Amino acid sequence: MTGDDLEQALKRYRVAGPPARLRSRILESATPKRERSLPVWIAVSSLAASILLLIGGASSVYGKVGRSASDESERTRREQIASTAAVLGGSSLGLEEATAAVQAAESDATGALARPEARIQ
Amino acid sequence: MPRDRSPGPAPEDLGQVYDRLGPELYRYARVILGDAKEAEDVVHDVFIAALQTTETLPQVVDGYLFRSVRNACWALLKRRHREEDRGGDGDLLEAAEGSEDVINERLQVQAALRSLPVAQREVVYLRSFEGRSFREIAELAGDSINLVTSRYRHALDNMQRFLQGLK
Repeated sequence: MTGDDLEQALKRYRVAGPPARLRSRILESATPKRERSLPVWIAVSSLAASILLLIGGASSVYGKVGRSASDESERTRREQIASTAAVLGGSSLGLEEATAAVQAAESDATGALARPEARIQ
Repeated sequence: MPRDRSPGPAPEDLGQVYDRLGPELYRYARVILGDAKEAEDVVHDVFIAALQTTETLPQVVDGYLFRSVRNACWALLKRRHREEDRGGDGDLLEAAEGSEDVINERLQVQAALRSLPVAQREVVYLRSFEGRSFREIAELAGDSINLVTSRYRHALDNMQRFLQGLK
């Protein structure tokens, strides 16, 4: 076999190719590396959701506390008016006078709190 | 400035790159190493390493992957402390498309190819099987064109002698 014959013979053949599994093996190995960023997104999403829940929960509790305090003071006010009206005779006139007296007392209390010297005393 | 490392191309892109270059890289590695399993591991490792060090694998020049495979193969041979073809890992050659498989001839050419030193086997593969020019082979191997041409001629002489010895 001459050199030319040998070169022609080489052209009739090729080196055996890779097994089919090599392609999937490479793609599988590459996939976990690409998904490394996924937990970061999960963490960020979880954090955002937690913050929203926290804000929502705090707002809800604040509203309940506010409503509860407001209801309590209104009940106290009604009781004061009722007891004052009873002292004044229990009539409608007595009720109006009692309401005015309680409002005046509230105004005084509010005015006193607004004045620094009142808070010091 | 440190280079930002993205997670690499999408799997479909990687699949396209593999379809374009993977089989040729595998054949190249198999010719150098003479071992199908080791060739598979080398190509796998080169692809995964390339993913970790490049932002856009599809834009990586083919030469980068070929040089990586070549370097990995030679490093492996160095660890082995021997260059010879391991043989016994199945048929190294198969009939090219449109060619008749003359089994006796194929086995003889295969044996002659396996008898060559790795550097000669490499240049025969790149020149005769892949149709690369001597300039391309010289660039890939980091040798001069004259050296690569001379190596190819020596390889053909050695193969001829081997084949004559079979008769």
